Amino acid sequence: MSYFAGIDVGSLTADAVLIDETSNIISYAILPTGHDSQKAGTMAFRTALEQAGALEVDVAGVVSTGYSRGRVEEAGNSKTEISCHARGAFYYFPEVGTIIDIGGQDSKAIRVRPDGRVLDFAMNDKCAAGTGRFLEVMAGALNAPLEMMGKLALESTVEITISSTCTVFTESEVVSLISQGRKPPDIASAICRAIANRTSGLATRVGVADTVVMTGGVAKNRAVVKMLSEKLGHIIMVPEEPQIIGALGAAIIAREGGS
Amino acid sequence: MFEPFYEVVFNVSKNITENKTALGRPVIGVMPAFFPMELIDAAGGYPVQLWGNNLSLGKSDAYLQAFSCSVARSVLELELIEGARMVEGYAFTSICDTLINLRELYRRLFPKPTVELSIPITRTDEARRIYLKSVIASVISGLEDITGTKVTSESLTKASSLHARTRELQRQLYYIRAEKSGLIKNYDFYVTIKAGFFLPRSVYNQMLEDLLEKLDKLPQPKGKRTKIVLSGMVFDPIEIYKIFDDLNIDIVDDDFANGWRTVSKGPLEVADIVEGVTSYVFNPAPCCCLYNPDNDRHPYLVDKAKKAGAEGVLFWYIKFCEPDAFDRPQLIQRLKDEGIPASFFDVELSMTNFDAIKTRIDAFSEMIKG
Repeated sequence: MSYFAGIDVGSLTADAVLIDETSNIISYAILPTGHDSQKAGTMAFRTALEQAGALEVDVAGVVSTGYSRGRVEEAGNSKTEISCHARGAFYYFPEVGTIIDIGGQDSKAIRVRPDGRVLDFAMNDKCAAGTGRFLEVMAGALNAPLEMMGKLALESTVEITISSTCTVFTESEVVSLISQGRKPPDIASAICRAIANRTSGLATRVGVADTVVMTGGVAKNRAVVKMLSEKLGHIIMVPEEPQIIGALGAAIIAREGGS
Repeated sequence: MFEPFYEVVFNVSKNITENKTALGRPVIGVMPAFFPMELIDAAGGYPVQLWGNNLSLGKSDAYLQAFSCSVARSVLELELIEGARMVEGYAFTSICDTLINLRELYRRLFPKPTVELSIPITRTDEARRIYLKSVIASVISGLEDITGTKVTSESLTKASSLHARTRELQRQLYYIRAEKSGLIKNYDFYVTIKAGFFLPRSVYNQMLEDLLEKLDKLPQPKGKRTKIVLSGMVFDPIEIYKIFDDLNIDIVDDDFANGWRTVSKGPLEVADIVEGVTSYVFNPAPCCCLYNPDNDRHPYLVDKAKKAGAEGVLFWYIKFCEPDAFDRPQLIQRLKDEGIPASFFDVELSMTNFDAIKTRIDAFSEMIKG
């Protein structure tokens, strides 16, 4: 049995996915990238191998993706996360037309062809506002665990509006709202809405198709998904593990020969 | 082949100072864009083009808002840190609000003289002719004051011929790049064009002639490469061309204000200088900074991409350049409507990390290849 691997080394996490010859997912790993992106990619790959009980020699092809894709030693080829997210989302949802990927340091909207390849794309062009890093900073300001931000936001009863243009300014706004005695769920909801508002503009640039899929770590935040869905007027599909979609797409490209 | 051009681009101050001494002419800094440098040469000046630099910005923040483009901020920074001591005067055009205000800042902050070619917004009105006549007289008089040399019809004719020759040679380089795609690395190409910003025409023309002679003998390299066209105001930071080279992407044509929009210009007609300057500024390539209803950028860019055999068009956007930003969404849509993939990335001249740009270029290339 030959395996194929995709390694996605982003700014916050390094993810690896192992698939078999028919593209079944065998194992995956999600590790923090830390300060050594090369090592993080290697560790994610080895962890996925261990989980599968496989050795590196069992892997017939490896494709890397993410911002550190060029620094993954195990990879025979690299592809951008735009192409990889398109292929990964297509794996779960073959009818996908638009993908919204909110990663650690940027967000992307990708329009997909019927064969799962990229038709058009747009990336955020300002700063970290509206990205995973934005959410992380705001969770810190609220003293709430990052993974609880979505749940917290859905408990909101009062709508507050905050700016979505700059992470630093928004953090100041959040601190100000806390000092005014605003409730954490209401502030968390405002933060998630700010991300949804910003991302909807990005999606509009490439066009919103009937089937919208959201990938990346922020897709785990149910409040962002709900608000974005309302904003776009479309149901948003989220894969079982949205954080590995880039690595999954890379593994699929590796299985197809790496190009 | 390209070493002499590299030597100029990476030692700008040294080269300008040496050439200034050799020529015995005052250096006039030319601000973007479309100032007919023939007028400076005719007045006995040595024009050098200032399209921005990669200085770390500090002092200029005291005078220009953070949302001014990095071209304006970096040239101001250069003067504020006294990095342009060899420049004795400045020539401006009025192609955007930032440049108009920048000239006013120079007048107030620095003792160096300035001239401004204030371009009338209308191209057909008789008022334009009357207005431009007085503007050109003022520009020539200002240049004469700086250089101490009178402009004559003879000096104008000679300067026109010299600059026309430069652009003719540059066009030949553009044609070779298009016809023998892959022969000239993108990085080498733009270093060659950029060297022309700083060299005296006679020196640069000879360097171009030598280069063209060598390139003419070389065959086109084999192998499939992706062909694209770039559009924007300024083709810096040039480090980005290394990304295109690494990804086997050939830029087969461009629509830069300091690239083809300038290179494509014919000789400055000096017999009727008002008509000559008007024609020079507005023709032949359209620009986001110039109102010219007879020369629409939309069909122009589509036609350019098709003629070049480009598989896509990338817009190279200098952050906060408003005229460029306003045109871009419609231009991208028009190209897409014509089946030509188009996208953009934004840059600042002082940027040093190009990872995000690389991802965008790489993704665009993957998108084109399908």
